[in-house]
Amino acid sequence: MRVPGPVKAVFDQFPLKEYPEISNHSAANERDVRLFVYNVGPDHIAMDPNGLAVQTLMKVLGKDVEVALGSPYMTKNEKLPLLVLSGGKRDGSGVYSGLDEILGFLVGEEEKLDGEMELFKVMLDKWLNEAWLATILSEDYEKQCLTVYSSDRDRSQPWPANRIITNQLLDHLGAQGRHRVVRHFNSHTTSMALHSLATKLGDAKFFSVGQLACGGNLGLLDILVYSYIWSIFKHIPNSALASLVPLSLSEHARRVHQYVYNSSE
Amino acid sequence: MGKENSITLNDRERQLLALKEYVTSLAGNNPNGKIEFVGVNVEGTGADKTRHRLLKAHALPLLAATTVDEVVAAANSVQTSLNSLDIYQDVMLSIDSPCPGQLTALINLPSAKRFLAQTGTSFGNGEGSGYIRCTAKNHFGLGEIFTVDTSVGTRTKSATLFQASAPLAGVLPLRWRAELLAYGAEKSVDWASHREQVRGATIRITSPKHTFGLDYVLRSLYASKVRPSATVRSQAGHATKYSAFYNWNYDSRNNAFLPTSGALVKVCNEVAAGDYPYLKTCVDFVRGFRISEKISMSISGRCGGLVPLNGQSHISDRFFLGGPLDVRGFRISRLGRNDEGDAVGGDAVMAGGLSLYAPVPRVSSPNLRLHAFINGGSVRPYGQGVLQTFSNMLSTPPSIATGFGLLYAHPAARFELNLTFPLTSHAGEQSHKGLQFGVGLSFL
Repeated sequence: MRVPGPVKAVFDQFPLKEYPEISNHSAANERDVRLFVYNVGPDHIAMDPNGLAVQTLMKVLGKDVEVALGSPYMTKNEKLPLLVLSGGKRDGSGVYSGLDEILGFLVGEEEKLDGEMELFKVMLDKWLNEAWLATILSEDYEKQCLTVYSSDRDRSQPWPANRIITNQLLDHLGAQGRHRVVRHFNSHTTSMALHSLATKLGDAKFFSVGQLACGGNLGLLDILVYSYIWSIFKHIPNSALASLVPLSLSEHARRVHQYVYNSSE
Repeated sequence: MGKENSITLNDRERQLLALKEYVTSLAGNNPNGKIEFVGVNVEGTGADKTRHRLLKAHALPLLAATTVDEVVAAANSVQTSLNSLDIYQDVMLSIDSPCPGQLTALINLPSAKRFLAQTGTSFGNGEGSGYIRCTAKNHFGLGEIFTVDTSVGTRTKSATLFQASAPLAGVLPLRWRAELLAYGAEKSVDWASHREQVRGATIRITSPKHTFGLDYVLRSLYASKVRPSATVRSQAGHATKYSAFYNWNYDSRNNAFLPTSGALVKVCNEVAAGDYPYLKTCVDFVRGFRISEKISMSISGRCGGLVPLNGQSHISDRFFLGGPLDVRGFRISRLGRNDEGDAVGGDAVMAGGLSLYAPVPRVSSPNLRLHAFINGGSVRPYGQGVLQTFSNMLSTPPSIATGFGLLYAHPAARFELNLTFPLTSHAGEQSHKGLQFGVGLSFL
């Protein structure tokens, strides 16, 4: 709309003088690439499978990253892990949330995933992810669930805050994935998925599927399978899900862990 | 809700003058003569439903009065304190003299509605809302009031409040109350791309001037953008706060929305522990003046500081400035630091404003006024110590705006429509040149 001349003349009598921006400490603090995950162990390794997968992938790709505690409410889509590249940008670019978006950014820089890798990725998302969530969300593993998915600060809040936080976290995790997670997973299909992975691995040390340019023998599938199997044996070793994991996959997970983090447990 | 306007106050003063003349006549037209109350009776539906101990505590000042001035002051005080209980409709007090030098008082206490359910809409402070409120009064005869209030609004998406309140007569001086509040609310904080959910409880004792209290609250902050600023990211999630606070309030203005005399001073102090511990203090003042018969002026200011005890303050605890209710000529809360497009407020605040009010030509309503103003302010982050923070603030120029417009002082709220002209601002702040509309209960 055109501003009438007399009104414009009045406004022009009051020119705006602009001073420099007020310094902002918080933006200056984010100099490094940061990966926000639910929780980290004493070894500074992410506890949940998705956070562990991204952290491992970044290490394999030789990208320096500072792993920090985050909250799923850091982004509107409520997805962790969250990757924030260095240097805050006003348009918010350089922020990637959720496993798929981060993989798209990291692997997209390397090369496109091939069809076989895509197939295994869908299988992991569908069967292993839901079996993992169904197990850790069951009442038997509430303590482990809170250890993996909430920070020490949240866990140490007094009643009733801790109860509210826990219920909200369980709701948030239950709503993850394509469907609302049911508390019982289908052990038959999960077992089939795990055995097809074991068959694919065979006697080889690594899957070498979804090959990464600087990943050596490791491929993306190695990292994704490792992140689930390692998390299962680390946090719910006595669960029904753990009993379904073939020996070759658990040995593979130990191998990948030693290869990437140079330590074995 | 605004205070009584000047006409109501004058009425009150006339009533007290008439009462004094009447009591003097009862004392044999000797203002210094000794008189005493030999009895105080209460009647009315409210009296039957209130415990004797509470009524006695409120009537006691009458029995202690022995001079005409004391009787007038006591009568005024008793009526005010009984009205302030908010459980009676309209307290009436009459004085009689059965024999020279002796007085009796009759207090009529019609009961207010003991159960009330209300629905309605309200607006102000930059948002509109609809509410349902249920109130139960004096069912146990202790002067207690229970309120449940739930509302939905444009900015405060939902809010629920349960409040239990009872007078402390007999334990503390009259007009002190104990209050217990449990609340939950979710509001949208558009200027910092998040929504905040609070759930908490407060216990406090209040008088017209003082409030002491303890608060426990769980704040949950949810980003409302996929890529919010670093500040919002770092504080997203849950944080608890335990705090002790003391507020002091002094209000001698003759009119809350268009003061021509008197002053308002509010002092807030808070010590908080929890995830973001801090010390906080804030002073607000407004002073009204009459310049001529038709023209008046008000000067107002705000000064406050927050010392974060673990290095960083929570965004909800910080000071924000900007908008039609404080620093006009800027968008709501858009003064101060800007982090990736989010206004993140500050730990120290200074603001001031000067407003001139004049009648609108050919309009007889005293509540509609022409309004000219100049206002400005600064919000800054906490630096290396309190002194350095305020010295930083004083060494950098504030953001200032001027303007003029129309003001309407409705008994329920003040309305302003101004043409605003920002004069100075800092890069990243969002000034507003043009028409700005404001509705609220308190303005800078």
